[in-house]
Amino acid sequence: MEEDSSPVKKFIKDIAANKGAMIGFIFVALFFILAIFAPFFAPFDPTTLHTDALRLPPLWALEGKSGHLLGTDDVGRDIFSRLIYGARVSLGVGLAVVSLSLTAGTLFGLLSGFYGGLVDKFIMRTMDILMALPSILLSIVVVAILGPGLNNAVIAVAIVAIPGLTRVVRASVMNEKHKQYVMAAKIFGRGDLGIMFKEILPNCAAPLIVQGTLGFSEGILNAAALGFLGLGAQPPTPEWGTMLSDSRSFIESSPWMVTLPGLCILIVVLGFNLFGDGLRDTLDPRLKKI
Amino acid sequence: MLEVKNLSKFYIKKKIWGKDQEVRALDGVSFNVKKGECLGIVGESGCGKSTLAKTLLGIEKETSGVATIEGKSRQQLGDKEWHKKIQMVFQDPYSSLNPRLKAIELIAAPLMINEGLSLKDAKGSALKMLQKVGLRAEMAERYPHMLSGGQRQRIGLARALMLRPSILICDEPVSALDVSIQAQVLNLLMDLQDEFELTLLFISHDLHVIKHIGHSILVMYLGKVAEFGERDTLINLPLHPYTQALLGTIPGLDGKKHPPLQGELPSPLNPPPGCTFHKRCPKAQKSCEINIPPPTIKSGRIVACDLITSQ
Amino acid sequence: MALIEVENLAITFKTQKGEITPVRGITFNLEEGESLGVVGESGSGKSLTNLAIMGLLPPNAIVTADKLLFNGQDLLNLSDFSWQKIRGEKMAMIFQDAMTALNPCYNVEFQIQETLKIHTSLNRKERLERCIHLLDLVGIADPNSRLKSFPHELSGGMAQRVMIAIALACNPKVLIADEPTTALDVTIQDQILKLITEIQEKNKMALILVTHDIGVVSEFSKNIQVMYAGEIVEKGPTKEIIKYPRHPYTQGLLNSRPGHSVIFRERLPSISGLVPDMRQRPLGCQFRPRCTFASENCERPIELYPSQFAFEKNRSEHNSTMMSITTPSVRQIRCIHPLEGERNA
Repeated sequence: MEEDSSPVKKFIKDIAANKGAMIGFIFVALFFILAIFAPFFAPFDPTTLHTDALRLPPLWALEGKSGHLLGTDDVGRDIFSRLIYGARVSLGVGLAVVSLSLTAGTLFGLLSGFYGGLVDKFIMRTMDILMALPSILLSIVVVAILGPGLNNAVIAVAIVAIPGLTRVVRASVMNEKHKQYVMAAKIFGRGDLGIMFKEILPNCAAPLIVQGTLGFSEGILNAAALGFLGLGAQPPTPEWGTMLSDSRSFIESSPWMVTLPGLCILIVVLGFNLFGDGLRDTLDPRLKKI
Repeated sequence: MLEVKNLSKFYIKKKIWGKDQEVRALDGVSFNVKKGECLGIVGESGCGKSTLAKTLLGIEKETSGVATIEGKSRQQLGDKEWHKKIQMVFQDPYSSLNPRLKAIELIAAPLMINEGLSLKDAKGSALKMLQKVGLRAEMAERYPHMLSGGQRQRIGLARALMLRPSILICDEPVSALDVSIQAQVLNLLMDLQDEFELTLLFISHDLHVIKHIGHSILVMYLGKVAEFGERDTLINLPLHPYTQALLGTIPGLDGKKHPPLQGELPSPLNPPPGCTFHKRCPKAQKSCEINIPPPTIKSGRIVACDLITSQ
Repeated sequence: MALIEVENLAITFKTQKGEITPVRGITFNLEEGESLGVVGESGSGKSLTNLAIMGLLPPNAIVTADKLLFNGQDLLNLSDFSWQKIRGEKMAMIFQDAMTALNPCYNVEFQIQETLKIHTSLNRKERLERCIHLLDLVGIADPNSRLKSFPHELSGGMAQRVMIAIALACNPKVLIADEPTTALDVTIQDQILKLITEIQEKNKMALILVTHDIGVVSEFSKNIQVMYAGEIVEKGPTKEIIKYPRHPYTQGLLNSRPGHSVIFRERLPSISGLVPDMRQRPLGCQFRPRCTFASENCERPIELYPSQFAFEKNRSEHNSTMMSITTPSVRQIRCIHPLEGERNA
């Protein structure tokens, strides 16, 4: 029996012991710091064109000639600065996607799992339809309807993420709602809303947090994919996916232009996935060690 | 105090093929309890004990029949008033407490919801109740997982008493606890019953516990009342063969050997015709397979057995 | 030679917060055909002890013992292969929750056959006959059609009967029943316990019946072993212990059962307090903090020791012929000032 710890303290202790999660957390935290304090870290404005320095290779590939740490792109913008500002966009997209889809998914899942019956059937069949479409296709359709642009891309990616979250929430609500504490709450007079949000929801938080974290990486990836297809962020917004697509014709002559944004996406997504997996290990009671 | 007349609860089991099936979880149950007394409800799992509790609390809507507290039904009082009068303690001290709430929050919740108090205002009376159920004040800040089974059950009890109900339903409140803790909780329950002048409905499968605490005893079998009467009448001279069997089958310290009851509880989906007990009854006769025995008053109790009433 | 010999058995777990030893100093023998009831609350180590005998403890458990013999064979350093030969064939176990102990994917026949296939050289037809015989033995009506049932089609009592059939498949020498009836209704409980003891007597099988309910043991086993906080506190013949408990804990367990000796609605004599935390065990007698008879002397370490019990002595004073009839006492207790005389009812 744990005498000393509240659930939160215990959770922090457990997650700190998980190496993978900590590595992921450090990556993610690093990028968040870069994104928040982008103007401090970026040596140049990300949209300024340095016409005297087009497609400049990174510093280490060039002897002596300084100025641009990671080189410049085809119109002479500083790649390092663009990547740092790009982190802002990507993490912002992730945050927006997760909060949108999490809110909607939780709400649908709660309603569906708690009331069951027709409400459940209607919501879940809608989710089935959404899930039946390939996710990238669905986001393309949404963007096609709403028009290209970062905000619309976020909405599209969030819609794609809703069904998965709804299912997770619904499953754990259905599991929790038959527990006796829910009946106890009913007996001492809590209404449906109170039971849903005050009794059941906190007990479904664990899988939600895990899914939310993993959803972060998926959101970033999907938004980047849309950017790559030219449907997401529009130039000159420094977005990693857009940067990738802009520079793909220079893959042989100036490989750093493609590699660096790709690497950024990789590291952030990997970081979130590692962190999410670690969270799952510590929060999911089925995987909990004795 | 509490009067239950002909209470029935049928569930409809929908079938894709064929006719919908009716499950009679509770079939014409009648009884009454006097103020401040304890009614022991005994029966095997699946006999409708828990459905009875849920129906009385209004979690399940009754199919027919009526339950009244001091002459007023739930419809007359309204759900809110009803819940202030009748509360419940659950069997499982692990799943009946929300694991995300502290003990004090759990106990204060009924007050906060029904009286609209903030946690701060409700805290005082919650702490008092915490001490009444024999827990130290420092337990208030603990989460359920830091407490033992007995301590959790005490919290469940405190929570149920916060609205000062006049009737408390206890659904197997000690069967999940260790023997040495069971006695502690039973003692506490009896003390609190006297202090708060509670009317208790004590549901259990253990006739020993019922025998110890119940002023009157209700024996249920497959949704129906088999026998209902004063404790002494029933214990000293059980009339229904099922009551007799129950009194005989409990492993006791006397070391007496006795023949066990044959067979198992039939499925409520497909109850046997006639007296539902006839397939396991050692005294069953041909007529038992046809006639459904009505509850009849006989020697100071209500009993549903043709063999007894026809004597 | 006893069938199972256990001497000074201890089970240790390494956890993040240091080592705990939930079971220690367990010494007992189980003779062939003996029925032994093990009584204790949750956390008393009764289940762990049995899992150790069956070799079923999780890998992070460290088992140490001066002696842990089955039929003269050392169980401490057995290979996995040798364990498989013993488990199921010579030792069998049934659990509290029969429903989850049966695999929901396979029917009854498959699950019984599986055991037979591993441990016997019977052919297909003989195995089928044995299956039907076993189901018949455990009192399942119409065994032929029940063979094809899946676990979800069985009631709790029926599932436990099937579990017993599986356990008996190879005529084991020992059956360990870990709370076999706790999840069942009283009327079914009675049937199952009767069944187990009947088979035990018929097959001359040794039985370890683990339960938290001293009432169950009192009726169905010859000897009792009471456990508290991972130690045996008292053991001896059932009838004597029920009537003349010598350890205060045994007496507490017996007296706190409702409905027996106490007057209607009188306060039950309860044992106050909780089972000690394994990380902060009390000094000396483990029951001391909850014991009403405790004194300073109880803080001294105490071992299980054989004791003559009082009524024997009394009787021999008055009637010297009685002494020759009573066998030398086999009772053992772990208490420095044991109770004398009959249980105060």
